Amino acid sequence: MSLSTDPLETFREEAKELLVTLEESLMALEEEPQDHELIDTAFRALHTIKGSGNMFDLDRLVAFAHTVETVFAALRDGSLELDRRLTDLSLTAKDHLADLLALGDGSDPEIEQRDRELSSRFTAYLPEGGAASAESGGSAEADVGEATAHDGPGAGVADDELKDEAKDSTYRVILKPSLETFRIGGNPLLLISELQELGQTLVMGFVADVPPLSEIDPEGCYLHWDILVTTAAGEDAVRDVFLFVDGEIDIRVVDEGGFFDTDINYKRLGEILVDRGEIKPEDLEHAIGSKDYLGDVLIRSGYVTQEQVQSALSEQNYVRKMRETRRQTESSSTIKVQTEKLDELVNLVGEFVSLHANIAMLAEQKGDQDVRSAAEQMEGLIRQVRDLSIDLHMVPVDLLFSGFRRLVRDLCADLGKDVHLELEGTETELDKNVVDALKDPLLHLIRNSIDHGIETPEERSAAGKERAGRLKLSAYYAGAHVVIEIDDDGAGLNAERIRAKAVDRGLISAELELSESEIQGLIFEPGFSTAENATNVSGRGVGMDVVKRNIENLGGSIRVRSQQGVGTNMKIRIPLTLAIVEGLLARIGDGMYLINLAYIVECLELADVVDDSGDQIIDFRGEIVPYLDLRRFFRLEASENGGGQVVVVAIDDRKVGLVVDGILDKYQSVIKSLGKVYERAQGVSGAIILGDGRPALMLDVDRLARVTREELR
Amino acid sequence: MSDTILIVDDSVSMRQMTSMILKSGGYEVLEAAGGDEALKQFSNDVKVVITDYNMPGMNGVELIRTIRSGATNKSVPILMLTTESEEAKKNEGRDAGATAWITKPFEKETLLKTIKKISGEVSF
Amino acid sequence: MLETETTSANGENVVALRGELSLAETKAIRDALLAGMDGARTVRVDLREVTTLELPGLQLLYAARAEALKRGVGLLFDAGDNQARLERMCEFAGLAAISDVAPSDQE
Repeated sequence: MSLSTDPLETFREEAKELLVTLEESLMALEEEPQDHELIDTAFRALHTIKGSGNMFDLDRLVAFAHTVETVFAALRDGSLELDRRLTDLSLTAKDHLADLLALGDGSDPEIEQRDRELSSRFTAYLPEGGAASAESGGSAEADVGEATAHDGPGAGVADDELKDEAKDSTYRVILKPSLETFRIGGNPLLLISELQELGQTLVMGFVADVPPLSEIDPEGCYLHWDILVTTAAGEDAVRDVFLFVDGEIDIRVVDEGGFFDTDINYKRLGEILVDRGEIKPEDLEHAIGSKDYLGDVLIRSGYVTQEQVQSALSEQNYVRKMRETRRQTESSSTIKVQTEKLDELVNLVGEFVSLHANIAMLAEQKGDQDVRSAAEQMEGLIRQVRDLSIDLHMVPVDLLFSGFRRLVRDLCADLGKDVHLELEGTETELDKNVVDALKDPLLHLIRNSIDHGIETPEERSAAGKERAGRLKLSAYYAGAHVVIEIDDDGAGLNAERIRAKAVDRGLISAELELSESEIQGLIFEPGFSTAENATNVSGRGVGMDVVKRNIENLGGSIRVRSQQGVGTNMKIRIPLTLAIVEGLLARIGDGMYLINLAYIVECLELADVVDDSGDQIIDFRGEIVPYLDLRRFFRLEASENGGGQVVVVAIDDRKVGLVVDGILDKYQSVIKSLGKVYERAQGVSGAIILGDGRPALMLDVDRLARVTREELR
Repeated sequence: MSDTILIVDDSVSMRQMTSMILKSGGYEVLEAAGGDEALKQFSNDVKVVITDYNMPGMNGVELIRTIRSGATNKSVPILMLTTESEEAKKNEGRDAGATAWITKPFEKETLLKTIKKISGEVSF
Repeated sequence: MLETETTSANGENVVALRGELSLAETKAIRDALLAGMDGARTVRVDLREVTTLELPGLQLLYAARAEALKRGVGLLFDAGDNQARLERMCEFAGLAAISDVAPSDQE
């Protein structure tokens, strides 16, 4: 055989020889159709043509060789018998293979036509049109398209690179090579070295299982490793490194890149050990009771080794460092400013805004045109400064949300629940003070949801739900407000039980008819607690009424919607910023009141829209809207020219009218807290000082709207 | 000195092609057409053995078993080539002591990467 | 290739391992170290002329420590100029540095 330097040419030569071998065995099989060795030789010739042809992308040749090979595999394992007709057909196939070989990747309609005919004739020999395998060992893909796919190691790397967002994640690899590793040419150090090419690593090797010399199998491998690798290459790339490992291998993500984690602290020691399967949760619980350092207790009790504790601590430290580094890189384009300074700036701007309102009012009173136009120009600038300073004070709500990941994880562990936390709209920005003030209420609501809302995995299974519960925190803008929703797919509120309890506690009379949503709203009443046996998680001290009050103190509101067996939704609306409120200044009696502009739909003359029936309702563009006479509400003396204006406000699309004596102007102001004196004042939520030094009260629109609807009933 | 790799395959064209790839990767190459010839060529200088599964006479798995039970350099990394894509043959090779395995046809990069994966040296 | 030599001096056995501490030599290494420990109060392992150290060889050094602890025999490692390389390899593999074992004071 002449050897060419071109492998393809060599293959052609080789394949010709193989075809000769095939022909010879076929001729011999005519005489002895049962000769197993001859069938085997023919099979092998076809197999080699297929296998090598594959390397040269000779798809048609490979496909046809595969079809014929499949029939010979059936002959070989006895599921098919060779007869004269098949021998003839096979000889034709041999000639056709020679043609295909000569054709290469060229084209010839005649050969292609013959290819189809012959293929279908061979396929007819096979059960189910050729689904059987060419290999005796099982069902290989009969589809040649699959056989030509490049599925060696490293396949799919290109895909990973495409979808890769280049976010560093940290993976924990537990590598326990088999005892045989060294003997079969394996070298764990190569794996470590390959892993290092992917990114930063922390390699923790264990020698504790290495026996004393007199007991060791000197060629056995007793070492094992925990390795942390931080890479942007993706999990598949990490798995690829360990493709050929003989032994146990466990790879999992321990720190997902890409989200801004406020909680720089990683899992606790016990958690890491449980996570790695080195200690049982119940043993951990047992050890946690002790006052001593957990690591020591665990080692002393023989649950884990010194090495394992050391390794878990190293992991803890490593991930913390990674997170620190990540945060530093993320914040490199920013400068840090102390929050107090920002607070002060916002406050000063607020004062500035008030002062300007004062000047504008004076200019108006004095009728000085020049001062008035100067004040107007100033207003534009002040607005910009105000917006900017508020903007500086905004932080993404993620700062709040992602901190809850840990809480959810811990609660699940403590309560035996399985909850998947979803975060949505984490980029929504809120005043930092609002974010801080929201932390406790949200904490309480999340606790409630996991403790009382979401069922145990067993209960969920029994109810036909996924074992893992879902808890979703989402944030989005709604005008000058941000809405935060806490949504779970737990057991929901039990209206009957709530009602019974409310009656029991004297919150409502037994006869009172309430809608489902009104009953659910009762959970926010002071003195109400749904928990039949309060756990140490939700606690007994803080009720939902406190949550509600905290949110209302922020100028916000909270609503609950729940369906028994399906889940609960808590919807919190809060103003974007606490510092400055834009409102409409209204007069009621002798007093001045500010109505938050965010709630106002329209202002109308009461006389134009009032319904004559005597009910407290107005006709607002065909819509029946209840109204509340604020003069009466605040028990003020009636003045002759009072009650002329109605301010239509809307909360959650439900409108009510608030009747005031007159509307003066739009007004921006810094809100001051009311202090002790006003704490129990219904219907007001704060106070401002007007430009001329007089005080004005901020109306608590949310509460007033509720009172209005209640009165109507 | 560059590492020597022993290619065992009954197909001349496959040997030639594999050899070209390995030489381009800077390796020295020895070739054998079957298991028996491979054992004759086998020495301490061989850093990796690449063997086809399906060969007349001694097949790839038998060759691996023979090397693993031998006296010299029995822990040499062995890369097994299979045309079959089912697990059965790979597992057979794995049980016999193959260090790695790839499926034909493979790409040049895949072969070189795999060789590197199993033959590299971590210096002391 | 591996060469082993065991000598006795000042009541201390010295096992010198020279050349390659590779998989092929693991049985020889084990045997030499075990023989060196027999009847000794302290064994010094001389690694100064080691040319190649592979993971199976390194593993045997940990096994030697375990054996020494079990027997109460002192074990000293003398890597000389190889010390830095030895430490680097342990560090690379994430394994504890090879440390000496003090003889137990029972006798």
